[in-house]
Amino acid sequence: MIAQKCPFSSVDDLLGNDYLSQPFPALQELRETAPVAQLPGTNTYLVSRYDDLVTVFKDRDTFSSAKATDPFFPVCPEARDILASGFPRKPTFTNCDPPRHPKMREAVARCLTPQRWEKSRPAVRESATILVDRLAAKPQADLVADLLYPLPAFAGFALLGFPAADTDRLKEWCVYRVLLTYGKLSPEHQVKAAQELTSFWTYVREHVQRSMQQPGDDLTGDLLALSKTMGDELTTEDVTNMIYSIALAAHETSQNAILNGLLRVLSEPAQWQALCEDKSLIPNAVEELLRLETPVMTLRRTVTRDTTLGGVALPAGALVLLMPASGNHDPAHFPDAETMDIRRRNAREHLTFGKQWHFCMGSPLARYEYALVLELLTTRTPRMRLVAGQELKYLPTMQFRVLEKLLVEPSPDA
Amino acid sequence: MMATPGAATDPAAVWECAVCLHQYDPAVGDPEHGIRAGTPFADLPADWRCPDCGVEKSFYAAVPGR
Repeated sequence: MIAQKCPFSSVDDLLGNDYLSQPFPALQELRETAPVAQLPGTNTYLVSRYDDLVTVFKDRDTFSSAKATDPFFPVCPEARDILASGFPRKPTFTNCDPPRHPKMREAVARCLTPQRWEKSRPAVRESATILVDRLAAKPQADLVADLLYPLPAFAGFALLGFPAADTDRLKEWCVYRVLLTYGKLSPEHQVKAAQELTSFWTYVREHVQRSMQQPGDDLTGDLLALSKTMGDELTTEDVTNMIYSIALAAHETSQNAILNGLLRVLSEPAQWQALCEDKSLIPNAVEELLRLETPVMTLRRTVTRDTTLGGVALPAGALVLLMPASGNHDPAHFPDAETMDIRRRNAREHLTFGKQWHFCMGSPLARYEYALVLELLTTRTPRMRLVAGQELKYLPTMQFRVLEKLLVEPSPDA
Repeated sequence: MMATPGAATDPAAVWECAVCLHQYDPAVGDPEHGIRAGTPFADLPADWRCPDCGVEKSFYAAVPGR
């Protein structure tokens, strides 16, 4: 069978502010009319139904992750040269297949233990409490600048052992990284981004070298200690590559997951009020908001052999764009899927963290931060409301839904 | 979520993965991976992994009251 007609005319449609601010009607059309859809004139297929997404997530032999974090759009020669000379990156758990992938993932799993998460929580709670207290005292606040830029960054960078004083430049590097990998930059901006990425890489390499001399009580120290027992299975170079990968994953997705979720729940006063009145609803509300407002718009796989998905033939070499935001809204798996129901029984079956082989290993931290933010805001600012009429702007990337600013009145009647 | 001694020794107890929140229910087993219904968590093979995220058994804790 040939692919069904795709309602998107090109991949550029996935980068626009109109789409990113309200993607779900377009995703519904995609699911209903072309659940496995070939983008016109390309070898790229969009996968939008829950069951098809799970099939791809589980079949790592047919759907390779090796190119999952390559720049999506071609990089100009000058930027490519900069990356080739100053950015000797090797695949890690996010962008490789067996036999390397299980070894990398196992190493991270052995370090990201429940005990490691437990140990990180008091400092994250203290930081969140300070930020929310400051925010609560303002007549108007920006949930990005005042809470969700600093909090996940603090938690993620502390996990890795990065000094808090480096937060701003690390966050800036991460934006360049997201834009070069998942956005569509001009050649001039690609060169700038490539330069920033080599600086980011150098920073991580030097951090790992320092940690070898003076190991910290953090993930970098844990991975280096583990590498001493694993020989060639986990080298210092591997650890550097892993820390570079986690340096983005440890905060960017949490920031945007929570922001998108707060925008949604504050738009539905009855749901917000229910959370304010009954904190026991928060854990499941986190799952429901992760389902409804995932920050992950696409994930990439490459087809390794001719196959069929959802009745559509996919040739070897085809690029598959997985759309978790669509799978999370699939009514075949989540009845009345567009409705926010913080008591939904199967909310936790969302695909926001992926599934199986590449399931997000940092999800315990993300879930903790999410629940903590809801707990503190519903306690300290129960009357919080969105500033009316504000324009919502999203970073033009095809992988993440990155809200640049979200204005609220924390205590409007105070 | 914390394991409780009573739940941990109860062969009918449901266990939950700390990474992905997958729940292992002995009443259901894990038929996709050859684990029959009625198999308590403690009797799962040492190399059994979370079917949703792949971590080891040590990442699981018994769910109180389930």
